[in-house]
Amino acid sequence: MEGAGNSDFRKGRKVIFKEDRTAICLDNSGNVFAARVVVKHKKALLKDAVYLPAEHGKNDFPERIAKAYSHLKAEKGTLTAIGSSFESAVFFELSMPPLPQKEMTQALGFELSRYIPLPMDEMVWQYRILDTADASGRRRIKIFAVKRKEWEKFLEDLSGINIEFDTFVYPFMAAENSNDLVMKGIDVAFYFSDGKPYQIEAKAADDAFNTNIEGLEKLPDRSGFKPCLLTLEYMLASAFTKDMKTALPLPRKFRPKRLIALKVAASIMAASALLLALSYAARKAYSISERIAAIKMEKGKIYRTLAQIKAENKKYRDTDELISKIYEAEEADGEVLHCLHFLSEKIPGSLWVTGFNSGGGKIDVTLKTSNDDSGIDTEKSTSFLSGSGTAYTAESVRKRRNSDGSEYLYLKLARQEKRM
Amino acid sequence: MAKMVLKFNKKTSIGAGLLCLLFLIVLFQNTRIFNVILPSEERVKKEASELKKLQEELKNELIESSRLIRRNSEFMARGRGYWLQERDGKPETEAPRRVESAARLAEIKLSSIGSIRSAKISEGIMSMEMSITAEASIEILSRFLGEIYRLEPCMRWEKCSLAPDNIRTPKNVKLSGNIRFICVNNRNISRILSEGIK
Repeated sequence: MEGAGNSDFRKGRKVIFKEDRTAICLDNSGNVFAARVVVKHKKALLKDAVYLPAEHGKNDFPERIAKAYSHLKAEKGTLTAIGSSFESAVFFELSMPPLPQKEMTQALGFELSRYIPLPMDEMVWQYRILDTADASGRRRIKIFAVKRKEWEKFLEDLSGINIEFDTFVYPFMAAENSNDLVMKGIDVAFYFSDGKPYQIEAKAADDAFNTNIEGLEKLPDRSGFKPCLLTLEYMLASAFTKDMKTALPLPRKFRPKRLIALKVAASIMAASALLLALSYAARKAYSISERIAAIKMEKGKIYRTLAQIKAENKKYRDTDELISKIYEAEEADGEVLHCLHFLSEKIPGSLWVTGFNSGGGKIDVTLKTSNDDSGIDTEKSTSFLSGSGTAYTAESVRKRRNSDGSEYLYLKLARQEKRM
Repeated sequence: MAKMVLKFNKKTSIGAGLLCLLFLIVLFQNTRIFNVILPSEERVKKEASELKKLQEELKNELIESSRLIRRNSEFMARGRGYWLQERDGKPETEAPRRVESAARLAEIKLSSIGSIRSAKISEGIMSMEMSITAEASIEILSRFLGEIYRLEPCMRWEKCSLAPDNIRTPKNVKLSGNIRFICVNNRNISRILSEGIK
């Protein structure tokens, strides 16, 4: 049958899954068909298959599923799907305008009540958006619905065995063109079971069934394995992982615990990193707090010392102002004795003092020479007032010659160093 | 409603929650409370800069303090240089007496000695002045100047004029001038000066 499979199985596979794929299907008689394929060199090879028929009057399909799973020796991490027929199964196809997944789920939630003649809260459903679209751009949507009670019973039966699987695949949903495959001749848009459910193996027992899986010669009963092979083919397709998001939700206990070690290691690393970061932050904060505390203590000491010194300085400053005023008042006083002593030591023998006036910090001195005609060498006569070691300097020097030949020198002296 | 939003927008809700958390952390980091709970390097820098300013201020105050103490000590050392009424008596009567005593020691007869004139320098500090005239030989006059110089408290010549009695044939030297001294009645200054004497 042309187009029954999903030929693009190499595209977009998720690397977290091992190359193996395992499908376990249960038909309406309770027979279990299970198969495992391995992908090698871009080819899917049937690794193993097992058929465990139901015994009359015994409802032990969970045990047989577990046995089949164990027989296939699927490694941990292998992508596993379980398929089953249900008495209350509803399967049909719709066309919907292209919508993002969230909006599509909401839209279908409203739309399905038009097609399913049962209250929707009594049903659970899943859908698959096919890649193909019709001429108007509307997308083909496969719908599978089942009564909630029947679905919960199925899960409850499975919960007794220790099996992990990734998703539930209703075999009709697996085939891209499953309508052609199984619904040939059906006039209605959907089929609701009324005690005579369709069987995929009965309708699809077609020799023209095409598959990319090699090694099918190992199969004990090829027609009975069709739903299983169809599911495996679907599982190898790129669309499968995407479609898992819209599949019926499974309780956590069924879902495989993959990459546990990695997750634990990542958690430990994250916790360690967080702990390290926190301890680093705490140490840094502590160190900063310590430094701030030390600085604050030092500041406190300085504040106290400053306050003491300022108070002392204020006291001193008050008296210092008075001291300054006293010094200013003293400044103008002439040091007569000092100046006379200076003059008596420094004045040359050819000169003598005829007048001395001090006041206002200035000293006027009149010097006289003997009466000869040689004249006064002013520069030589006042040389005692120049030089670095002298106590007085001449601010002005004036001379006058008398009629008797003598000369007067009028000096205005100023004290060099002043009191601080 | 919230349950429904969480159910249908789980990832968006987690993302929004994380964003809110980040926003709160950023907000918290920029508040004063955060700075108090977890102080940053910025705060250390700020505190250190304040400490540096305080140290600088302390240094300046210490410099100023040592300058003031030095000035004070210098002033204290000159304790005997100023007239303290409680120690030296009333200047109006006592000061002329001391000058006359100095004249007697120098064996000079003063021509005149004026009354005390006072000028206020500051509260409790007066500048006091008296005029003196005398005529004597240069030796005696020098001795008198020496005696005045040796007086305690210090008396300084505010004005002093020395001239020969005769220009052509000088025998004596005429002295005229004003003697000045500082009289302290200010309690603080008196205390400092008294301490300096001790």
